[in-house]
Parts: sequence; C-alpha cells; structure tokens
Amino acid sequence: MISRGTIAAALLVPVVLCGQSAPKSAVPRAADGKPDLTGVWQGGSTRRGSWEEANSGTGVGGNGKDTKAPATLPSNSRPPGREPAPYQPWAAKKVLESYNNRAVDDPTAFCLPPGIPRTTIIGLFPMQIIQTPQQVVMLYEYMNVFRVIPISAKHPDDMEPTYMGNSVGHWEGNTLVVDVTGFNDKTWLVGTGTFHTEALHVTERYTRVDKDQINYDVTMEDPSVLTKPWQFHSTLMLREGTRLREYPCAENNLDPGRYEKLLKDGVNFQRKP
Amino acid sequence: MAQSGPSSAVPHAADGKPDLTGVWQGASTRRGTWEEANSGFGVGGTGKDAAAPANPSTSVSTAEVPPPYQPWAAQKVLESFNKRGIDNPTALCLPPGVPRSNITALFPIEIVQTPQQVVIIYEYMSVFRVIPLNAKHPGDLEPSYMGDSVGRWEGNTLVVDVVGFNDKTWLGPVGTFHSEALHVTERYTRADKDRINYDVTMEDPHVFTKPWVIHSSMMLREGTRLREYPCAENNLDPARYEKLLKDGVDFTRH
Repeated sequence: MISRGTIAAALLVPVVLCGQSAPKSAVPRAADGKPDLTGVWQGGSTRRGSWEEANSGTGVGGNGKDTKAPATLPSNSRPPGREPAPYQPWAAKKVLESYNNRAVDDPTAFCLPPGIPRTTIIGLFPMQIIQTPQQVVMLYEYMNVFRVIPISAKHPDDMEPTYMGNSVGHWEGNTLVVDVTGFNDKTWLVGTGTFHTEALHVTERYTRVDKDQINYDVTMEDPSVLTKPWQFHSTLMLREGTRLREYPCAENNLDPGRYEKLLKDGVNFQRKP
Repeated sequence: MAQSGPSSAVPHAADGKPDLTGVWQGASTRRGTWEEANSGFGVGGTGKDAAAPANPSTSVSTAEVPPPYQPWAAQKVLESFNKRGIDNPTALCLPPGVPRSNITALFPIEIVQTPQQVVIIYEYMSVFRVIPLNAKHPGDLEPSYMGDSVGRWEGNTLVVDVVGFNDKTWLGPVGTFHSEALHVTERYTRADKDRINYDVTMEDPHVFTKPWVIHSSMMLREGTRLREYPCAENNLDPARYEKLLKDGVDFTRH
C-alpha cells in the first residue's frame, strides 16, 4: 500500500480517517472499453468491504459482531430515504391493507420470483453480474432467479407476462440502461404490498462509479396504480470472495401452511397506531 | 434430407477458445430451430411431421451402457421405476442436479462463456451454474442439488469437475439415485456450429460398481430464448401423487 506521506506530498490530498472511506479504485473496463459490471454484488447496501465486514451490525442480515456499525435496515426501508410510493388513493389503501396484514400475502412466501426491482434491493443475498458485449446476465441467489439482458436488442413480439419481465439493455456512455416490460401482476415492486399491474415499465440504470460501487437508479412507471413515475437511487456494493449459494425455496417451505393456520386461528395482525 | 445441412465451423471466442455461448437443446441429435428439430411425436414433439423421429422418453436411459448399480441399488432404482416416478424430486420443484439438467431435452439451456467463467442457465426448474475456470473447489462446500463446478480447457474441450452434491437428485432416468460421494466429470466439445458433444462420467462408489459414462449431445437452437419456469406457481403434482397413493392405485409395471 502506498504510504500516505507520499500521497499527501504529491497531491496534497487530505487523509481521511474513517474506515469506510478507503481510497477508491478506478472502474475496471471490459475488453470492448465499456465499464465492466462483472462481479458479485450486494444490493440495498452502501458499505464497502467483504460480506462479513459490510454486514457486521445488528438487524436482519447483520451478524451483530460490531455494535458500533450501523444496523442493517429492514427490507421495507431499502434503499434508505427513498421517496414514498406515489400510489393513487385507492391503490395506496390496498398497499396499507397488505402492510397491516404483516405481509402474509407475500408472493415470495410461495417461492415465486420476486420481480424487479425487489430482487435487487432486498439486499440479504448476493447477486452476480456476468457481462459480455452481446448480453449481460444477472444471477440472484434470492429465490434462485436469473435474467438474460441482450444488448441493443428489441423486446420480442411474443412476450407472455412473467414475474421478472423481459429485459433489453443498451449503453449510454458509462451507464447500462435496462428497459423491462412484459411483467405479470403477481409481484411486489419494493416493500410490503407494493403491487402493480401488467402495465408496469421499469427502467434501470447501472453506473459503476468506482471499483466497489455501482449506482443503481430505478424508475417505475405504472399509470394504472401510480400517479406519476416512482424513482429511487440505490447502490450495489462489490463483495469479493462471496459466491452465490443455492436457494431451493421449495425444499420444506413452511410459510404457506403457517400463514394459513394464523389466518384460520383469527390472529389479529393489525398494527396499532 | 433437411436434417443433414452442411456443418459449419466452430465459432471461437476472442481468447481463441471454442465458444460454447448460445442456446442449446440437450439430449437431441437433430439440427435446426426448436420447431424444426422437435416435429415428431412423443413428449415435447409437435407431431407436425409423422416421418420425423419421436423425441426420446426422459424416463428411460438411452445410454449405450445402463447405469452400473450395485445389486441392492439396482433393486431400489427398479422400485422407483415401477412406481412411475411418483417420488421424482422435480415433482416437488427441487433442482434436478447434474447431469440430469443437461440431458432433459424438453427445455432450452443457455451457455454464456467468458475467459474467467462459464455460466450455464437452465429453463427447466430455472436453475443456473457458475463455473469458474482454473479455480479450485472452495473449502467450505455444503451439499447442494447442483453441486459445485470448476472448469478448465483441455485443448478444444471444456472439462467441468463437479463435487459437493447432496443425495436428493436423480442422475437422469427415473430412480437413478446417488450418494453425496457423487463425482461428475463433464466434457463439452463443440464439434461444429450446431453441435456440442456432451460426454459425462459419473463416479459413486457407494452405489456403482464402476464409473458410468454416457455420451450425449446438445444442439444449437437459434432464435430460442429461455422463458420463465415458476414451478411453485400452482404445483399440483404433490397433492395429486398423495391422493393416488392414498387411493391405493397400483403403479407397478407388469
């Protein structure tokens, strides 16, 4: 590692003491000159380092080894500080009903694919990007789903509605822009109850700003339920040394039976104000 | 004959290796689009061409040599076969394992090759494998359905070494169980533009008397893309099988 004295003398750069602000590295480039998004990443996080280092606080997904580290946010609050969903009044009511039902109607409780952008920002499991000039492949440990994103292609004419939609991508400068349509209406966009229709249109923007961080900016449009496009800005953080594991959700899935029993037993889920 | 068009040269990747990238159909020998190559009868065939060969059944092995099971194990395989595959792990939406995923001809397989790793994506049960090249198996393998794969090139052949399996899959045909000792070696050799020779050696001293070697092929299907396979959506098999068993239906093949 280069001594800080050398850097300070040559560049007069102030030395930053906080552990999270290690010197940023340049963006790796693919053979065709594009920024290379290849790697294993954690969504819904802003912390650099290995998976263990970056998830050392408390909260779901944190290992609790560092009580001074920020607590991992609940998945309903990822990304942090996102604007509230601009649902039409009737739709907002429906979302709230689901939220008050403690997500007992969560499609992922049935091992169904989580959709876009939820699969990316839930942040509890790694995702892997493999980039080639012709296509970008995204693999998600969560629910073991994948997307193949052809570059500079059109959406096919024969799309049937799907959970993960149909994606095509193109480069705008250093940003990979992914256009996703062809959704079914069976997923949640982000947090509990955030339903949508088959009219959903998602635009994702992936910009690798340094070695450790991809800025992940998303616009969701659905005039059937939203009053205007819904945007948020999030990040994917590089997790070197992490590999994707299996996620055989169907193996001994206890949620459906458990939720059915809770409902039959008349458990009151309502959140009290 | 429409099926014997002139063979084209093997495409190569930028690093000079044969390029396996593409969408393929396993356990097939027929060239052409998916529609053209699956025009006969049998499961997966469109039936539009009575003269075309029927698609082979996935229940029985088309290997030249049957699996060399030890006698007690062969007995167990036969019991499963006689129960008409009612204990099929894929009926429960579980990953099919290796090599079964490669030799199930009913759904396409996509390979994406880079110099550092090869990714194989299967429409069937929506599973994927990441195969790092010139890497070692990790020290912390937990048993998994699809095992852990590492690959290397031997000349024009991609050799993939797979270990770390659990014992919950079938190797291929009905009932072909194995233990966690399973060790699979796959060889992918792109013979021409349309065809990858897929040769597999399966070793499992707990159930086999010797290694089981099969030769198969994967055929290029241009114009085919992978679709979704949300197996958990309205999966009726488990309840149906349970009812059949409860009703005392006799499955035994006579």
